[in-house]
Amino acid sequence: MTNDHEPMDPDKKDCLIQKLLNNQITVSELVELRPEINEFDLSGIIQHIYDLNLEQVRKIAALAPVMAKVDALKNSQRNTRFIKKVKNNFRKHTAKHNGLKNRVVVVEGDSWFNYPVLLSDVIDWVAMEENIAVYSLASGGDWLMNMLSAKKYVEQLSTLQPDVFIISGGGNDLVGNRRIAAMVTHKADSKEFEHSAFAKYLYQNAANPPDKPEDFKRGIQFISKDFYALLAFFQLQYYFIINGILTGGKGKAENGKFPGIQIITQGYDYAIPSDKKITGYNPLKWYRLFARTFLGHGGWLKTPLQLRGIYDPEDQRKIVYAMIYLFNEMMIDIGRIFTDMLGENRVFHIDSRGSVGKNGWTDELHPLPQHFKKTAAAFIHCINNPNKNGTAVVKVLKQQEGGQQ
Amino acid sequence: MKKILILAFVIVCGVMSFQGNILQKFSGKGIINLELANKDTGTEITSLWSDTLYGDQTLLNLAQKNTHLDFLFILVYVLLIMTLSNAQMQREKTNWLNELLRFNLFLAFLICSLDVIENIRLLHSFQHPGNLTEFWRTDFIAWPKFLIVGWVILVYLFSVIKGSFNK
Repeated sequence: MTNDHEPMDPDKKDCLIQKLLNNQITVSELVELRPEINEFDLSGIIQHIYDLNLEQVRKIAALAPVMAKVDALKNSQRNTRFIKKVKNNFRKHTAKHNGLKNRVVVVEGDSWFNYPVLLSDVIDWVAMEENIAVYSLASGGDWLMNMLSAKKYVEQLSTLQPDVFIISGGGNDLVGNRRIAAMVTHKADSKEFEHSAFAKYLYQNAANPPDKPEDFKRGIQFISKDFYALLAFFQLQYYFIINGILTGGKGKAENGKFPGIQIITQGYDYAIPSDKKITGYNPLKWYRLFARTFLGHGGWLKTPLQLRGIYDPEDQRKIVYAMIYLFNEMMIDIGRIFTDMLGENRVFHIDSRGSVGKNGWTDELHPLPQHFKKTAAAFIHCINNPNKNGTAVVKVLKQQEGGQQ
Repeated sequence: MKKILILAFVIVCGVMSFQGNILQKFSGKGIINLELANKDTGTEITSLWSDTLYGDQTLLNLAQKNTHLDFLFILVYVLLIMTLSNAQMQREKTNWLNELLRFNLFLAFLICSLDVIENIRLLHSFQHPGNLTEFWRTDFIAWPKFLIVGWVILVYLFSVIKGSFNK
């Protein structure tokens, strides 16, 4: 995928990539670099961020075989229902009950979109809507990097020509294989936020200022330059994916293969590092104990932070708060980039921050099913009422308060 | 997966009810009578089966085979409960009912555990037909098991029927 204009001088590109990796890239340099990035560059950057060669990166990012099979089974069930639903003139009609336009949705993502057997995840709830048919490629534990390199979504977008493409990724790139430990420093003296022009830009242009600014300030004192490099890298990856879909990688809408397609992203909620197994005695919530005992609870956030010598639970929480805050703002910024490029909102963001609360978690990373449902309600609202010219951000909290769906 | 499980369920069910019918026909007592029996009645049933010939074997041999087959049946019906409840969870919009269907997954595991313990106790009793002291009761396991099975089916059917009314 290339742009119409002259490609950037390779030496200059290398220099900008080095600056990105050293957390010294300016916003204008990042803007300049963004459309020039190709898959080869992305692969090089990830190897530098993780200090591993490509083979090792692929190895740690690969799904466990059992996990991959269970995910595939759930997708197979979903996609069988999808085909059954769409076959019956679905694309020609509106929903019987609410008169809403029927919409075909392709989904790529991680465990928020495919949590097999135990939980009803976001996509389970979305797919229950009468007027929405969901084709799922999501896999719990999947890395954004895998989604981008496997490109399964490209084939399905071409085949199905959906109305909406939903993508959720990045969480496992950050917390998989205890990577979060490499993104922090225990000394609480980090000045990397001040050095990161991109992070400061995100903070200053935030769609929503942090509801706990003191927590944010404390959190960033622990965050090292690798996180900011990863944050910018996430934006490059998302830009690469979305630019490919909306403009065929050319930066102009007329080159896009999927006219009118709506893209929706999400950025998780403020997860709470914890290794506590028991959180209550409601037998109906038995799965919480099961997930916390057998499915990696504590190993994503709490243990890696402890391994780096960060033991205070409040500090741990604040670090994740700052990371998730910036991750969401980065995603919202992606939407702004494409709104500016295309003259209307095409990339929407579901902002789940603050919606789950302290006691709403199944484990460290995954909300209880009823909270997944709240996030799903925001997705459904966004799918049915895409706001082409207003805000491209749908806040889950606001949805809850407004009770709209 | 679902279709294979349903097929396996029907086949195993067919074989087991064939064996059950023979027990019932030749002794007037089925395997469920034994599962729910107290110590005296249970001892009488094992003694009766041990003394009644069916072809070149006794009814007790048949009951043993039936119990062995029940281990396979347990596996099949537990997987079936989990598969059906899980599939229904992906259709059930009502929070509490969705949560109850999820609870079915746990109950399936519980039923499986109870049924395995029950079978082990029955097999022990089969080794000592007519022996009152060696008869291990299973009624205190079988009753809760049947109640839980009933509840699981009720929740599933309620959700399915409710869903079909909403269509």
